[in-house]
Amino acid sequence: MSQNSDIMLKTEGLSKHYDEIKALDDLNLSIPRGSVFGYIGHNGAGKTTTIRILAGLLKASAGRAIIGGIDVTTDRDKLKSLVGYMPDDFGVYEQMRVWEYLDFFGAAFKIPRRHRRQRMEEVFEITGSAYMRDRFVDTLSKGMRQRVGLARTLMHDPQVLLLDEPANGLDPRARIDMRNLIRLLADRGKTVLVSSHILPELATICDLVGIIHQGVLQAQGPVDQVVSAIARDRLMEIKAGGDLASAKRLIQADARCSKLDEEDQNLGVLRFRFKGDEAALADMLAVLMGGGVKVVTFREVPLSLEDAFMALSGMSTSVPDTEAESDEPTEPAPSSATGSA
Amino acid sequence: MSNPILRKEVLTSLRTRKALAMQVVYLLALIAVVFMLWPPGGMQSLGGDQAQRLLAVLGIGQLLLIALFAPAFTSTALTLEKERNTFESLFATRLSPAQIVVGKMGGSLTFLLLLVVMGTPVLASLFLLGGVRGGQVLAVLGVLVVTALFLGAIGLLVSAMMHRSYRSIIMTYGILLVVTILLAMPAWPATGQLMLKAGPVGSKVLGVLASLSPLQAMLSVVVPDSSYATPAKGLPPYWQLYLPMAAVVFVVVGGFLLARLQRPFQPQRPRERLKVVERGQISARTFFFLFDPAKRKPAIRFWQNVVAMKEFRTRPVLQVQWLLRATGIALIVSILLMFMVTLTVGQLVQEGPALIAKMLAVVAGLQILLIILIGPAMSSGSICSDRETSVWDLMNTSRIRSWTIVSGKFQASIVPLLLLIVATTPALLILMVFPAFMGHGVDEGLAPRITRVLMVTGMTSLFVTVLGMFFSAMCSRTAAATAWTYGMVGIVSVATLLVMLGPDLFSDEFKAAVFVPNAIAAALDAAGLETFQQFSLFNAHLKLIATVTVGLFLATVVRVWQLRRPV
Repeated sequence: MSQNSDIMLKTEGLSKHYDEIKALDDLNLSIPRGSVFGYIGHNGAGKTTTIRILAGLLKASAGRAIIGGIDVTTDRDKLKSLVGYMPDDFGVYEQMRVWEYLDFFGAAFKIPRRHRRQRMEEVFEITGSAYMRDRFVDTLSKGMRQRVGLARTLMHDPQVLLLDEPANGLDPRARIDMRNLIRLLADRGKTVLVSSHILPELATICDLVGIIHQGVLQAQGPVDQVVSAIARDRLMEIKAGGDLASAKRLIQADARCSKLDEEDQNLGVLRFRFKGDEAALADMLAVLMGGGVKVVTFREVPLSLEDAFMALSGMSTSVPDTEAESDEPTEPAPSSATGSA
Repeated sequence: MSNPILRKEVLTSLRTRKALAMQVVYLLALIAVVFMLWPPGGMQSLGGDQAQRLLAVLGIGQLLLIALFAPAFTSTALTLEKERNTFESLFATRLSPAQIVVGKMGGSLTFLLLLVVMGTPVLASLFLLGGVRGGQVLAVLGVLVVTALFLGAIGLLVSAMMHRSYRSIIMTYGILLVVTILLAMPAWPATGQLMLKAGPVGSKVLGVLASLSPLQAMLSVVVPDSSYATPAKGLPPYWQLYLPMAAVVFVVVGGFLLARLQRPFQPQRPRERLKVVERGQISARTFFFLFDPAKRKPAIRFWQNVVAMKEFRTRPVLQVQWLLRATGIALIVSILLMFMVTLTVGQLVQEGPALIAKMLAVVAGLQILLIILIGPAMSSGSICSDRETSVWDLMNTSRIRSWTIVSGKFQASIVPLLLLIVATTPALLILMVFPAFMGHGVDEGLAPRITRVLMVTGMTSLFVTVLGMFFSAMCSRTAAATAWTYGMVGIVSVATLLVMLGPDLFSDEFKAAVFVPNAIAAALDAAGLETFQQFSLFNAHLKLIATVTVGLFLATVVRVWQLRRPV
């Protein structure tokens, strides 16, 4: 992330209601300049609603959103110069070549003709789409079209990019390209808000993430902090030689071990949830070894962004959420795991 | 209802509030017609004139309703499936093409047939007046039902062949216009009964063709003793020819449809024209084009309307090479037609100015017909097609203003119509030359009449374009906007002419009021045709249409501004 950490995009109590349905409820986002913000949520969680409000296409029912010091509801014309919006499924024109498509949107953003041509070359270079210049837009593959879409979004050199599911429907190679492209843009000083449900991809390129569920932001902050704040119990894995029964008995007997997750007798592997610090872990290891368990490996399994997302949205995963399944009293998920980076 | 498509279509078409509203409005309209035309105190002449008049109005009214709405329902039945990407899923099921056809046809026509059934008690009420035979009412119902099937099958066939709904609607309405009106016209006294003057073979051919017109069939039922009733002496009335012929066409079209749906997925033609000719580069092909389509286009200039430029570059019919070719063809055809008509008729010497007036009327009517046929196709998709493809959102995040969008779309829609007028105008100008050429003096009144005709055609172009844009802004689907525009233009410019068919059915005051918005009537008045000159339509028409056009244009601007606001 850029060292310049002034806030480029901020929402305060942003809400959107459709009659009785709350599409977005009291959203408070804070995204520094030059960072990539990954916006995660199920289909219908409120991601597109947020992005459309930020792009000036939708009116918020309450709250406000400020981009680069401009309130999105009051000065739409300035906002348009500042923001580049790429929808999930954007339309293209039939019978139009790629360069004509970019020229049209360049003219629509009132870029003077002589600058437009130069700008077109720049976005062709950034997005690697120069070779498509004379192709018809409606004949391009999905991956090519996404590149052209990003090129269109960049034509007026916006400071903030709002990308709604840009990797949706792309093959693995194209997804990697798109990921690198987004990172490149952030490195060039753009502030990027990118929504996706392909979580591992966001984890690798995002400086910050926000997890939204049923219109409510559940957590936001740097990836590792969000994950660790959500997963208060550590997931441990032990691989042991011989019978696992004694290891299982010792773990279940220990009060610090909240839950036995899974076991694989063939591999001799057990996974369990553990509450405690490093010293407690060392003590646990000693208990196991003292109980005659032939420990081969004893390690903590890092939780992924996907695990955190699934935990917050209340879905079961291969690593289920402790709160959801334990009998202990539960606490609400943190509304904001950390401050901004 | 074992056919799942039929069940789905019927359920989805009948459960909407719009369907209920249409049924209520339809019934209220029928009741209003009966109320207005019912004889006071239930007394009528012994000849049953009032009952016949009511039957004529109800029969023709219901037929027009079916003719206007059957294509709108059926011509999008399969294209909408294609646009929603559900067409392949349909064929991946165990349903046979025949089941799909029956389901789609039944689903599309159920609502219309329901309207016909709902109108039956109103038709039956005519028995209270006397003077109407049971067989006559049954014939009216038969023509209505067969017409729904006949036109529905045509709409469905077009829908199977096209990929986009609005193109399908345009094509279907084009065919509808030919089948319903143009085929019948040679048989009408109002057009001089060309059929009787076409010689023995020609009259038979025209008679058979006229028998395919549902309008002619209905006229022969509701005006049985007039010259509209039979193609020639000794032959049965039109409706008796129409019913079996329409049934045959229905079966043949159904067969084509089934054959087409056996192989519903044709591979797309490869896109050519990927080659780009750089500006300034001269090659052999340069000499074949006035505007080479492959030549690299210049970037949009600051004084150009970006939306208009986009439209001209993306819509095939608006690309320069096609516009020029179409204009050229129209120009050549119009000049040739005038030469042929003038030279072959050979009546100019005898009739002189009278014939010139008739020819002016023919050209004026042709111009208006072309405008109302082509105009809606140019403008009715202008705004909603962008909304359908999400391009609207992209434009809304740009700095384009609402006015730029409206004026750009307007320019792109009106240019083809203006070119059409320009291309057909030489045919009008030739009329000024011929009298002198044939030895008659110059007709001083001809130039003003030509000017008035051009004013009407120009105003009609503006009206049709703005009407299409208005519906395009109001509807979210291009198919709906196209159907509304054609429906409205059809009612204003074609349906109102039907009052001419029964000379005694309507008063002159009523006819004059109905003709005021009618562009064809106004153009014929401007051309000097006596039949219409008695109503003095020209000034009233221009004032009315200009006012309506300005109102619609302002409403369109406001609607576009509304659509661009965040909601």
